[in-house]
This record gives sequence, structure tokens and C-alpha cells, in this order.
Amino acid sequence: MNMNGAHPLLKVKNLTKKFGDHFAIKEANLEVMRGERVVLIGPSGSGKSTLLRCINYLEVPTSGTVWLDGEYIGGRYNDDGSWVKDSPSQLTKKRQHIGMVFQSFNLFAHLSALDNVTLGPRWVLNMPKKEAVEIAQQLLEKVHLEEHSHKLPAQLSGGQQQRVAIARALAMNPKLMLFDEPTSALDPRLTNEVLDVMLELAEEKMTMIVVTHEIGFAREVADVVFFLEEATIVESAPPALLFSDPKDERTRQFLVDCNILK
Amino acid sequence: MDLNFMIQILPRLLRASLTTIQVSLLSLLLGTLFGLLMGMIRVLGPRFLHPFVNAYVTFVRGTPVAVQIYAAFFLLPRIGLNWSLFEISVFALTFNSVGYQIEIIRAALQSIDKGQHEAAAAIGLGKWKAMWLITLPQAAQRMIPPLTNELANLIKASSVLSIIALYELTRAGEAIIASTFRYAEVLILMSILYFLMIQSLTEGSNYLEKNVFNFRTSRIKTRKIKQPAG
Amino acid sequence: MPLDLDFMIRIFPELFRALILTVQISFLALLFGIVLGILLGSLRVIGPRYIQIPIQWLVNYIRGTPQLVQFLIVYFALPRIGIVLNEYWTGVVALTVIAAGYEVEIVRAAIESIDKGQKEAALAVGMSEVKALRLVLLPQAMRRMIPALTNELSNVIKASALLSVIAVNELTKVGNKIIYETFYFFEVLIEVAVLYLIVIGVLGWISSYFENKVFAYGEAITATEVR
Ligand SMILES: Nc1ncnc2c1ncn2[C@@H]1O[C@H](COP(=O)(O)OP(=O)(O)OP(=O)(O)O)[C@@H](O)[C@H]1O
Ligand SMILES: [Mg+2]
Repeated sequence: MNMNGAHPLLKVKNLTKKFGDHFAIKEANLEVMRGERVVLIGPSGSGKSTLLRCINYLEVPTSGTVWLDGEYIGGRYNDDGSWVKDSPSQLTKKRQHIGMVFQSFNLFAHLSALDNVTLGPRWVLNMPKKEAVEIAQQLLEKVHLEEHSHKLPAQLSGGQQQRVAIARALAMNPKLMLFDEPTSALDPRLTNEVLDVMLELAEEKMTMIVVTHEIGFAREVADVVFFLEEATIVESAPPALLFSDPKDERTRQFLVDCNILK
Repeated sequence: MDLNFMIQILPRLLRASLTTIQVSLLSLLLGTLFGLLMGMIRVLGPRFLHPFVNAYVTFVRGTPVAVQIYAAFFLLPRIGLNWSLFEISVFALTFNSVGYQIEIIRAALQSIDKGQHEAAAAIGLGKWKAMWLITLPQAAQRMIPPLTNELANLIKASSVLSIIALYELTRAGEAIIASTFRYAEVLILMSILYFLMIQSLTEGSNYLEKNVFNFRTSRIKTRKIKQPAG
Repeated sequence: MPLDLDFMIRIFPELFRALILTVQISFLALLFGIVLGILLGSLRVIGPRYIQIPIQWLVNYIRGTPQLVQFLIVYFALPRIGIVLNEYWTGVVALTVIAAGYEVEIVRAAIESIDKGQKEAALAVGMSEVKALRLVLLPQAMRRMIPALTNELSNVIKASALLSVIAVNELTKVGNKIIYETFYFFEVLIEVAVLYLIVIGVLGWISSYFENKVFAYGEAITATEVR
């Protein structure tokens, strides 16, 4: 949905990532407006994770650029047009603005829920401990986990862990949130806990890109859905349109395989 | 077997055992300090330093500890360090231990799940901060069993210090044998003392691992699926 | 500190002879250790409990106390029980004890790594337990031991340096003797260290060659490294 007068927050241009000779994502182009909610779908191995991970440079793209709110991730252009790579510390700094939620949660195993959330503010943003704890408690409340803040990851259910992970990402006050199949390691009940939290975020107009197989979520929340197959973005459209009347035969086939289309 | 004789020499051997424990523990601790430093260089440090660390490890592991001890004994005074026998001994065993601890530490650091590093990167932690705040605390638990083993090895290796006349347990035993010729009693007592030292330290570290560094209390309840939901 | 290369070359023959002796003694100890290790290791696996337990005690004792103490025990105990050997053979016996202590564990681990079905199949065709071990399990286990045994040889070579205390003229002892005669300790120590490094390096290389190239992944049992 291109809102009138909206500014792009993220511009991905001609992004390609190769592993050896194999294209994981090929010439991907993507623009996300401020407050826009984007869902990526596609069969396994189509490059959804790779695209997401290239956006915050966990994976360094083979070619192409990622631009976020006025600066390029991973480098910058000199006045003479030449590309200068970011130093590790510059890249680290830029990453702060992009929150990421992983399929396998990746909570810091040795830290309590609260410490997982305060770690970023305290050690990256150099916030005083008291302030960081306050923010973390608010966020844990927001993901309905205020009572579990002292628990270690191993003492939390998968759904609870994932909600802590969301709080941890939000604690950095990111401009953009990336979700890579945040619920696919969870059973249906726990999935809903997590989706509820994501829904609330979406309602607050958090800009987000979500890789998911939860079509219901996509329908309800997404402004745009992108369909990927074999490392390419095949098409994109608002969910109502894409799920009922896809333009591309490959998209249709995928939706039929998923029992979404007859 | 003369029990009276054994009781009579026990205090001497116990006092020497104390030296054995002191040298071994100090070498373990110093070894961990330098091992961490070099292990981290090996994992995160600039690539041009890796061959130096590797050469060091190869040297330590490829030569007998006796040779290393002689080398410390002859060379340290030569470069102007007027160290006591005890200090030379700690140096030699530390030098040796670092060579083994680097590998222990490197393995523990590299055993931490990749997801932990990615999560750290995603919230904007630099690699050294991530090492200090995330990787190292988690690796610490995994290092305890091999480091315990290392301490046992150091206690055993410390007996070699008798060749430069450090008065630790083996040297003390040898001295008593030389003056009394009652080797059976002395060797039995020595064996028991070494065995007890190693056993009690092992128990202690098991306790440490289970009760102090334990953050994996229960297993996570998750489901591994990767299917598009209809 | 400039090295006196002439001196290093001059002492090389003497050190080299000592190195040969070191390797000889170590190799003999390894061989005797293998025999003992297979015997005790097999008993440890299929023997009656009243044999298994003392064997495990012995192994724990050898692995759990300093090698030097064991050398002293051999050195004092052999003459006492009427076995009078020269330094060379005393050294071989002392090292054999140490090697056997580790090899029992190698043998046991290798036998226990063989699929249980192998033993059951052997028993099912009517073999006795001893026959099953000798004809079916050990031949398969032997293959898996080779890298660990190669590694064990370098452990034994390192341990042989301690034979200097019971007057065996191995490399460390001879090096030390030259140091006290000439005070060229820097040159001697370097040369001694390099000789050890070469031998142990070559053995390590052979060991990992066996482990990686000759054996399928995970088939070989892992070696323990001793100082
Ligand atoms: N680190 C890597 N090394 C080599 N190949 C990789 C790597 N990561 C991904 N790939 C390959 O890139 C392609 C795209 O992978 P990606 O993980 O992005 O797919 P996906 O769409 O996220 O799939 P899924 O739904 O299974 O998570 C796949 O063919 C995969 O095998
Ligand atoms: Mg994926």
C-alpha cells in the first residue's frame, strides 16, 4: 500500500546472494514505506531467509544495496561514486536500527528474560542500568511476560521465549523489525501467543518484514505480500488480491499446493 | 610395611603436597588467563597472529614437559630473571598448560551455537562485546570438565618439577627414599596423596559445574517443522 | 643470543644416537603395551567381574598418578622381586606399564565401539564369547585403534624423557649431560626440542592421516594426549 506522502524507509536494490555458484536470492528489489507491514511467502529454499538476512548484513550480499532511512547498510558511496565498505564497528552501529527475530529464538542461554532484554540497551546504547530495566519491564509487560522476567530461557516455553526475543529486539527501538518464521518451531497454541504480540505491533504501525507460513496472519496484517520462488521475487500484491487472484502461474500453483486456492 | 614410619613421614609429605597443589593451581589459573587471551586471538583475532598461536601450541604439545622445565630452569636466569625455584616452576607449568588450554578454550568458544552470535549481531553488539557478554559466559560452563582434567594433568606434570629440585611431593618422596631406603612405604603414601588430590579436585569441579554454572535446567519444549501451513 | 652452529653440528651425532635410543625404547614399550593392552582390555570387557574390577583399578592408578612415581616404583620394585635388568630394559618395562595403562582403555573403547549386532551374530552361530572376541570383535576393533595407537607412541616418547631420572641415556638425559659439560644450554635445548618436535610431529601427521584418510569418519576411536 503506497500511502500518499509516505517516505520509503527501506530500499533493497538488485540484491543478489550466491553461495558458491548457487543463487540463494537473485536481483531482488523491494521498497518498504515507513509503517508498512510486508510479508514474504514462498516454498522452502526459495531465498526468504537469505533476503531477510542480507537486509541486516548477517549475510553479506554478493551484489546490490540495502538502504535504510538515509544510509546504506554495509557501506557508503564516496563523492566520486566509489563504494566504501563499512568497518565492522560501523556495520554494528547500523544494525542497531534493525531488529531481528529468529525461527529458533536464539535467546542468550545464560541470561534471564529481563537480562536478555536489557543487554542491548545497556551495552550497545550505554543506557544506565535502572533506565534499561524500566524499559525492559515495560516491554516484557507488552509481550505479556512480566511475571517471567527472572526466568532463564530453558525455563520458558517456546512461545514465551519467542516473545522475550521480540521484546529484546524492540528494546533497541528499531526502525525496522525482521521476523524469520518466528512461529514455525511452535505448536499452534504457542503460535497464537506470538502472533498476537506481532499483531499488536502491527497495529502500532511498526515497520516490519515477516517471513511466515501463517497465511491467516498475512491476510489480516500485511499491506503487501511478496511471493518468492527459486531465488526470485515472482510477484507482490496486497493479500486480498494475491491470495485470491495471483497474476503468476507459479504463485497460483504454490497457493493451490497450500490449499489456499482451489 | 611399617605403619609407624608412614605416620612419621606423613607431615613432610603433606607439606610437600601443599607445594604441589600451589604450583598446579597457580599454573592452572595463570594458564587460563593466557589461554583465554590466546584462545580468543585464535578465534577472533587478526589472522596474521594465528600462525604464532599455532606454532606455540605445536611446540608445547610436541616436546616433553621435562624439556620445557629444563628450558625454563636454564634460560630464565640467563635473561636476567632472578626467580625462585617456585616461580620458575610456575612459569614452566603455565607455559606448558597454556598450550593445552588454548585448545580447550578454543573448542568451548567455537561450540557455542551460531544463533547466539547472530542474535548478538542483530542487536548491534560488536564481536568483542559479544565474546565477552555472550560467548564467554556460556563457554565457561563447557570449559569446566576439560579444565578439571587439565588440573589433574598439571598435578601429575608437577612431579616432573622434581628434576629441577623443587621440593614438591615427588621430590620429597625421593629425598626420604634416599635417606631411609624404605621405598615401599614412601611410594605407597605418595600414590595415595596424588590420588586424593586429584580426586578431591575432580569432585570440587563437578560440584562447580552442576551448581554454580548451570543454566540449562530443563529442556525447551519446541516442535521442529518447516511446512507451509494451509 | 647468536647460536653456535658449529657446536650444534658437533653434538648432533651424540644427540641423534640418544634419539634413536628414545624411539627404540618407546617403540618396544608400545609393542609390549599393545600385547598387555589387548590382553587386559579384553579381560576388562568379557572377563568375570572379579577380574574386571582390579584391571580398572590398575588403569585408574596408572592414569591417575604421575608417571614419575610409576617409574620409581618399577625402578625399586623390579630388583626387589628378583628381576635385575640393565637401565635400558628397566626403561622399557617402566614405559610399558604406562603405555599399557592407556592402551587398555584404547582397546576397551575400540571393542565397545563395534556394533552390538556383531557380537550377537557371532554368539548366534555358536561361538563362545572368547572366540567371538578373537575372531569377530578384535579384528574389527584393531582397525579402529590404529590412529589412537600412533598417537600413543608420541605420548610414550614424551614420557620417555622422564627416564632420565632412572639413568637411561635417552635424549633428555644426554642433552642435559652436554649442558653440564659445556654450558651451551641454549643450543642444546633448541636441538633437543627440535628433535622431539620432528619425531612427534611426524607421528601426529601419520595419526591424523590414518584418522582422516584411511578410516571412514567417526570410525576411529579418539586418542588422548598426555604430557
Ligand atoms: N549458508 C549457506 N550456505 C550455502 N547455501 C545456503 C546457505 N544458506 C542458504 N543456502 C541456500 O540458499 C537457498 C535459499 O535458502 P533460504 O534459507 O534463504 O531459503 P528459505 O526460503 O528461507 O527456506 P525455508 O522456508 O526452508 O527457511 C537454499 O537453496 C539454501 O540451500
Ligand atoms: Mg528460512
